[in-house]
Amino acid sequence: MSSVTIKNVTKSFGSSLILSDFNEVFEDGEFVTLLGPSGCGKTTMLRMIAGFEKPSAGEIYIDSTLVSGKNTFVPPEKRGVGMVFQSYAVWPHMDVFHNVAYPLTIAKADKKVIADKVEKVLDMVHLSQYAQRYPNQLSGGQQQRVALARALVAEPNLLLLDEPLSNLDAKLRESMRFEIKDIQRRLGITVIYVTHDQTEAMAMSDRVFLINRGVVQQSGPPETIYNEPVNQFVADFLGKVEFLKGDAKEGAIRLKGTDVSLPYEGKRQGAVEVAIRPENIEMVLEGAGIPGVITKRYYLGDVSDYRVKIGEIELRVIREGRSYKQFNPGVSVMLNLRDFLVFDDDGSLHDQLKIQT
Amino acid sequence: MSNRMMPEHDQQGRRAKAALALASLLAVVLIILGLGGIRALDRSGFDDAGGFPLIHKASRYANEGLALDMPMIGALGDIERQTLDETMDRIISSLWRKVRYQGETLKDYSRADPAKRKGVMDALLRETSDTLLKTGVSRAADALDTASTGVTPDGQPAYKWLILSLAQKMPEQTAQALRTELSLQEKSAFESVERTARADSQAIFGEAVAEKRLSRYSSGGAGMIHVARALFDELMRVSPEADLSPLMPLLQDIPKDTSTLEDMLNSPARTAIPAVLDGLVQENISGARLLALTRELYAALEDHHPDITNFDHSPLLLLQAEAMEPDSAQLLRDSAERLSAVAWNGHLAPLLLETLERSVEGAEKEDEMMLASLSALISGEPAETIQDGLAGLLIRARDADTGTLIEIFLKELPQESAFETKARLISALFIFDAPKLPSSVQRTLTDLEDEERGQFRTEILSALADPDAPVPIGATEALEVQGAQKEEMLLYLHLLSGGGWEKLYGEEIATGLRLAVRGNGPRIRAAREIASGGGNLFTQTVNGFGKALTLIGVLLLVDAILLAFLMRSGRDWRFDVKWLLILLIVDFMLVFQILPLSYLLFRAFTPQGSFSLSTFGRLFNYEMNRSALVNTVVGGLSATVLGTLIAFPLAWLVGRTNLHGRKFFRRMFVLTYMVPPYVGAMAWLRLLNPNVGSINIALRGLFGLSGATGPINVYSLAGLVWVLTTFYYPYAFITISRAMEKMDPSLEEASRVAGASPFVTLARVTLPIMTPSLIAGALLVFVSAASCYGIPSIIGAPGKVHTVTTRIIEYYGRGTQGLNDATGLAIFLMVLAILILYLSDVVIAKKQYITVSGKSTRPNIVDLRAWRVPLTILVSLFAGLIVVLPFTTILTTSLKIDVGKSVLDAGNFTLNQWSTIFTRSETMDSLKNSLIFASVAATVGITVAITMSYLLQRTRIRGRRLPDFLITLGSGSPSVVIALGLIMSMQGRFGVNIYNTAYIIIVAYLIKYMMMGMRTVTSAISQIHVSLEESSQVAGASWLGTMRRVTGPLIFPSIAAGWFLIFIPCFYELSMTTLLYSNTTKTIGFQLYEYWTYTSQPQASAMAFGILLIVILINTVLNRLTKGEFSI
Repeated sequence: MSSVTIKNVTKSFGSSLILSDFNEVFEDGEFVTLLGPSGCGKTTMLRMIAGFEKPSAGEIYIDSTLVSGKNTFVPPEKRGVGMVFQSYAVWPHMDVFHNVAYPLTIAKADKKVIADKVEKVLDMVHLSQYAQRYPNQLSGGQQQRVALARALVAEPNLLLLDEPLSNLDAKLRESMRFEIKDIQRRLGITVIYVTHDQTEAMAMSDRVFLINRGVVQQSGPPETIYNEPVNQFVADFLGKVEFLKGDAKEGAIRLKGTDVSLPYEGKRQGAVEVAIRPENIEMVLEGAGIPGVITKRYYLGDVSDYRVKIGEIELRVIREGRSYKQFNPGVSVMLNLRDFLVFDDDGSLHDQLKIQT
Repeated sequence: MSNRMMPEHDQQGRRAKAALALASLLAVVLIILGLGGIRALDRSGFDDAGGFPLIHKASRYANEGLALDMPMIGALGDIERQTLDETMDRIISSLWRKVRYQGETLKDYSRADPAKRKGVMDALLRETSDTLLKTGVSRAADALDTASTGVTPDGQPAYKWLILSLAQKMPEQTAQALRTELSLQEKSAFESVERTARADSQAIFGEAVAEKRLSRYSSGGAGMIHVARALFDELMRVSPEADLSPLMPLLQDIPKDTSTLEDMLNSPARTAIPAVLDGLVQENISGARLLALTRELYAALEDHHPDITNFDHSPLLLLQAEAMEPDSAQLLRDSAERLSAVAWNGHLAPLLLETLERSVEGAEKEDEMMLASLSALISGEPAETIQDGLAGLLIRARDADTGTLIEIFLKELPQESAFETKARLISALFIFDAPKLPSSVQRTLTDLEDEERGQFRTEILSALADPDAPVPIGATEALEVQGAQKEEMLLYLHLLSGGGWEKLYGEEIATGLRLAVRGNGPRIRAAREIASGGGNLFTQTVNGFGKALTLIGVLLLVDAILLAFLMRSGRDWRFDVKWLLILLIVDFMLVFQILPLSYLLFRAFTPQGSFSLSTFGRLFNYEMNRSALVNTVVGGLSATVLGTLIAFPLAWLVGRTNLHGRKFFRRMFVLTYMVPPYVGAMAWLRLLNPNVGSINIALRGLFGLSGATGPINVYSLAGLVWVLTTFYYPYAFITISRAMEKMDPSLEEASRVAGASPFVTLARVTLPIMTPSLIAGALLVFVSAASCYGIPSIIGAPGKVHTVTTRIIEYYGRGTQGLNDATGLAIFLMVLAILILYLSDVVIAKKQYITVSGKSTRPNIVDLRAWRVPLTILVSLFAGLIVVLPFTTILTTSLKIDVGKSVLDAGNFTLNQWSTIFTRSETMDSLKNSLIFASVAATVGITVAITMSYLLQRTRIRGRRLPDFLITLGSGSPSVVIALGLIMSMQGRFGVNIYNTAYIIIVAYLIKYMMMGMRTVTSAISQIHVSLEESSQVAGASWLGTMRRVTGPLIFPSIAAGWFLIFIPCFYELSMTTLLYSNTTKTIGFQLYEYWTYTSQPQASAMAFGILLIVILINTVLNRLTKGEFSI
């Protein structure tokens, strides 16, 4: 199918830099997600691949064809990609059939071929019985699937999805995730998916590109970037995380404001940031560990969320829901930190976590 | 909880229901009272209901006077008292007759003009109690009218109609024979009768064209250009070889300034005559010479025409009529339209006579007089003499009646109050027929000291009571007045000289009553009513306001029913105060919009008081109206198509491409939206006048065209379409631009990604999605162009390109018949407008499918690449042609002395026009008027708009859409129609009289332009999410505080914009003001129009440019005030 190669792509609007020096190869048949907070440049990247924006510098190849370069620009209609928009962009003056048939009509395909292909793709998105309906007679989810069908009907090798699920309600969003993933697997096409929803990214992607302020922070399979974030931003953006200040010295980190020392074999010395995911902390009433006192607790159903005071700091701990009865506020508990990450404390934490707007 | 609330609900509901019932009851009472008043007015024959309360007041004053005089009278001896009583009887019987016969004696009647005669005849008929006489005379008079007019209202020959109606009363067999005979004659005589008609038409035209008095012609005789042109064309048709050279000297004298026409004047007559005629401008002709040329042309035609008596002159007559002052024009037009009917009457006279003879036998008694009258008429007796005879019958009967009446009145007076009643009667009769006093006597009366006054009055009384007593010195002079009757004069002096009586003869009572009661019979009744005590105060007051009370009652009833309906449909019988606001607005619109429009409709279909389509028939029979209808529709449609064709690409280029200077162009195109259309018309007139238009001169120079006219003639349908287009395309441009901005750009991107090029995308996605907006914009252009008055009146009128609006306003100046015709045309325009309103509603309903994305992305900008520069040049040229050129022309024209020369020519530059308009009080007054009217309209309008927008956007109160609907209907109605409806219904017919005041103008402005403000404010409020207000309330602010601190500041820019959106069109309004102005309420737009047409084009241009500057200034202020958020 198709691969996309991005070489040193930089994009700025006027004086504001949107993307800087993007270098990547999206492989054939890969499901790639561009993830990041709004305004991070992910949509701009996608629009550059589609051909709606021109890179300020750098080159974009689809397979081996240069589509955007210094003196080359292939307009969107010649790139042969499929795309689904956040607002679906289903044309209100055409019924479902004609919406979906549009790419084939433009390509002057045979009428019978069009009918066959549209029927097949509508079947794939479960919309066969709605072919004669107009968009204003469809629900949001149905419109979204019309958009998907339209993007797929011409059998593109590359499918671009721009936050396609963000306007759907939670339940529908979850089921669509699997449908899209399923379709991608069946057709074996390359998908570039833009979202700001980390769960969506984790659930669907082969590789996730986490972008912040125009720069790729980390890329890799979901579990890698979740478990081995390269910086505080990545750690913070994916899942929940608590940052504690500490001092690394001689195989141990002493947490500031407490008399707790954590065993540490890493190379870092001096001021560090310790990132702990609250679900990675074990908590018992009696036994070994760091002593603390429960100060607050919240019952969330599947889990219970606690605040535990250790020395002068307060730590967030997440345990299974039914543990709620056991840990009353004021009770002394013992904590075991099963897993944590250590970063240099260069004072950039606050800055990194500040989301660019 | 809800259970506990229920009883309270019920209670409130019960209270509301009771209140509604009470209001309905009150309404019904008001209506009954009001209708009673209207009936009383009808019966009394008063001209104004104000007479009723005046009668009561007069009676009261008379009583006061009487009370003061009683001691004086009581002091008289029995014999004197007796004498006084007899004197009073004599005075009564003489005064009564004088009042009763005033201007209605046989002598008066036979001397009067036709209109007056008709009035007297009607009055006499109304007062005649003998039914047989009444019906007989009335039938005879009607038949005479029809017969002597020659034609029935629906255009039939009068005699034919008379024969047919007489036949209806005959036995069927005879009638059938008559009808057969009639149709036989019609067939056999067709040829000869038409020939007669044509001969008649020749005679009339011969007479008309011989008319030399320039005062008989409108606009200095300029209209005769068309007559001359038609004569020339006809001459060329019948005799192409005719020698016209003798006409050349005359032709040379017609233009006052020959410089521009020099070339043409030197060419041979055959080409010179039409060229000069076509090239003449109104202000450059010598009317008398033109008339002379016309006469000569006609003489030539008479010489050369093979059969001039058989040539139908009617079209020429109509053209001639168009050129004349209204009175003469109407006469000509009438004769032109009656020609054939009159000819037929001549032919059918013997048959009618025969029919009359046959009818005599077995005729109803009531018809005898009619039969006799008609016979006499046909036998050659003048209609006036016959009418005199008829009137004489009525007058004799009346005189006989009067004597009896007076006798009965005096005899039947109750003994105990007889004196008082007589005294009051006399005092009342004096109101209507006061003896004339020399000014010296009047001065004596006012100079009297209190004591002397008593003395004077007593002496007069004595003189009346005793014929031998001396007359006081002050009164002797009065008795010397010619024709003065001693007794009457003395009594009048007594009354006038004080004691409370004199109040009767002042402004309030005497003048008021004389105006309110004009008929002689009604005056007698009024006097008798004053004598008998003036009636019940309540009844008279109610009668005085019959129409107003009925109107209020009907409104109240409508309101109550509406409220009941709203409550019932919501199943909630609690009263909401907001309904009061809604009802207030609804009532306003009902009175000033629905009522006038309905009355207009009513009048159009009942021109003579009963249902008839004759108005439409007549209108449609008249070629000029048919062409006006065609011009309106064709012109409107062409401007629409052209305007949309211009607007769409412009909107796209300016909004969606990388055209150079797109923002600048956008502003420029929107600018024309705020320019008064007539200013554009003036500019284009100066640019495209076939002789002196700058563009024409430039084109002639550029292509070396010979001839002194052309190549473009703006005085044509095409010219009209062009100017309409240049001034109404912004309507489409703005609508389309807005829709383009609101369109979700990914709709187009989806198409691009699907493989479509930008242009394919434009055609297959953008355009179809824009279609509803495109249609909405086009409909707006159409309705504005079709109901525009300013442009066709300036461009179309000189070229005889009439439109419905210009015809309406022309008809309006022509009396009752004209008003009927204007109504008929207005109905056509209204139907057109309602149709458009309905269509755009359907389209807008469909328009919902434009999806507005939540994400605000910049619109896709299409790169024009190689086309960028050429297209920018093209758009610049267009902007130059359509915006810059006209405005510059207006400016330069305002700086010229001689409009025919360039402003740069030596000695042709002046600022005098500007200083003139700024120093002349009439222009400054009209400017002040415009500012006041527009500000009042804008302020009231924006208040209503804010109220309605709030109710629409922030409440769910039922019925909130009703005022919205009415306001939309009002703004969709053509201006001319609104104004015409107001004129016809607001002259007191329905209890409201605001005719000739500033109010009627302001009301018209409100109805037409209130919508502009409402749209703006509504959309602003709809954009403020309710949560903004809610969070303010949650934060502890009261409703008022929230309005002041949150909502107010947020919507203030829109309120300001809305205010100006109402203000600006009102400020320069022309169409409605043309119909509604009075001498004190002229506006700047109207003044400008008058200046352009009658005074000076440069001065008019200066005013136009001044208006333009004001409008631009306002727009700039608005832009600043709202921080660039709003401009128009």
